[in-house]
Amino acid sequence: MNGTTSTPDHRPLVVAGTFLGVGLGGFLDGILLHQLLQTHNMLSATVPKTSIPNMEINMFWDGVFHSLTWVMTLIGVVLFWKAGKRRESGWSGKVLAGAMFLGWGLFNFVEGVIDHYLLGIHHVAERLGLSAFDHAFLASGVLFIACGWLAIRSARDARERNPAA
Amino acid sequence: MCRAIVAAANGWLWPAAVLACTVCDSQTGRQVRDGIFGENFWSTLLAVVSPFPVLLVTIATIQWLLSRPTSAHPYERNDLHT
Repeated sequence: MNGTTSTPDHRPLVVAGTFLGVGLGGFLDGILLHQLLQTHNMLSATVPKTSIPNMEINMFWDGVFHSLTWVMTLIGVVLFWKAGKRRESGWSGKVLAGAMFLGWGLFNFVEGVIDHYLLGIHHVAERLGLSAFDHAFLASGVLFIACGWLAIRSARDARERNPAA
Repeated sequence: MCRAIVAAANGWLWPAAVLACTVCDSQTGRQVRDGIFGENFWSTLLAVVSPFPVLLVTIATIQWLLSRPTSAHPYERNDLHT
């Protein structure tokens, strides 16, 4: 900074927010769809929940998946902390929200394509198989990515037009 | 006290359900372990983990795209004035 007006660097916040979005998006999927609504589990297409052992096996692989979303969230928290300590970091709620939406969208899109379509290990509504719910899940990913990216860009452009804001 | 009675009743009425955990020493527990650590363990692990490397590569790509110097890049523009 050194007395000069410097445009803040939003990149650390974008990366931290994206990790947080991926992790929290994974937790939302797990908590809402796996546990509360119980529409599917991690391997519910290949190991149907028709017996106690099969339900326990699904629960184990749910745990593996959620361990990884926990790691992504932890990485996001560490990067968020580091971004906060950098003087040149652009501290913008709009950028953070946009990055978190971007991460959430990335999670829905990547997880949807790989697990629901390519590998077919589970589907959003397992009793229906591959259905409109899977298409909606994928579409939500694309929508969140677009909204998140636009929010980041608009915050960045606004800051560029008015660096003192 | 009540909880202990309910837990004991559960164990007596539905022992298979209560002893179905992954580390339980029961027939159901063994079935669970066999189902998890059977011949499909590594392929299942790969399937469950597979979205995350893709996500990491995607985030790295986003960071690279944001860092890429362009003539109109707002983060680089101030460097011209300092």
